[in-house]
Amino acid sequence: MTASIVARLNLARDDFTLDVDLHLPGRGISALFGHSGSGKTSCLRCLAGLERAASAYIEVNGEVWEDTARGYFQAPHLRPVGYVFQEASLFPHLSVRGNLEFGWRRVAAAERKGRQRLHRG
Amino acid sequence: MPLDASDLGAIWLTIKLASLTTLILLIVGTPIAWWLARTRSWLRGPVGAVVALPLVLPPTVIGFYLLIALGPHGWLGQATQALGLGSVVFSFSGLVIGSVIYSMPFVVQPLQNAFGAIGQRPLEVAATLRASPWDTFVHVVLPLARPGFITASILGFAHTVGEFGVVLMIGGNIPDKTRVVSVQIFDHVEAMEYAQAHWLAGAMLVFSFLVLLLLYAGRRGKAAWS
Repeated sequence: MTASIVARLNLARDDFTLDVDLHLPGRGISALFGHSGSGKTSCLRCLAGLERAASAYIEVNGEVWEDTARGYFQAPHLRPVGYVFQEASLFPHLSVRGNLEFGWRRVAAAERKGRQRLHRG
Repeated sequence: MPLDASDLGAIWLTIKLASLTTLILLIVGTPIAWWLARTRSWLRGPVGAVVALPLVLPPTVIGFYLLIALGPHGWLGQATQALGLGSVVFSFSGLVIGSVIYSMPFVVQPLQNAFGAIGQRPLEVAATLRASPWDTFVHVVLPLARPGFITASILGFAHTVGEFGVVLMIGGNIPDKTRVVSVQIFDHVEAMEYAQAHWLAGAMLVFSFLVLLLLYAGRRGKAAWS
């Protein structure tokens, strides 16, 4: 099965160690749930490349994003993820359209989904 | 005309020096401030302290060391001579070098605070939206740090205009080359030309007040550099 997400992470924090070995389907919707403080956010931040784990192997649909054993780390902006932060995280210096277009403009035209053009009002 | 040709020459030279110094400091100071705001290296403390030194040292101390370093036997002087630039002491280039060092904290510190205030989140958001680090710096960090750049430019310019000790030590007092307004006032007073000293000193007073007014009124109640 190549169409899947593999994430083996070991992230040491001051008060606890996050140790996960995830195999998730590469399509559809998967949900992570658990107690608050159990490491859901840290796990997702590692997947997005926002957090560096001491040891990590991340593979998404056959493409390796991170492999600390080989010293490989794909920068977050090169990982095709969509990430919704827990708090409102709009750019204060941009308008509503500017915020929407920020990500849209940085995705290759062929990969853009949904409306081809943001409505110009 | 209360200001004679040598006064106008000094004013023009001061404006030229302050503009060039501010421009260089924005280019040099931005990466230093960015590094100071973000690094976790142990070098952060020492580098921050070195940048802040001109705040506490008498200008004569900075001028003295610069004079030695830039002089014909100093390491910087040897370098400029090897590059065919000749000696820069008692020249306009020397004044620019001295001013850049002397006014450095007034540019780096507002920028560092502005960068620090942005925090980690906007950078992470930009990264998840496929913006490379440079893209993020240009399209997120620079616009968000704009007030810091305005403060840094005004303070850098104004502080260079107010420079006296460093200029005297490494620039000497050469008309149209190194004689800036503060030195010109000193000369007038030495020569007992109080009327001319009054005009220049008054102009500096009004200028400085207007700069600070612009700075404080423009920040709408926010502290200027904290």
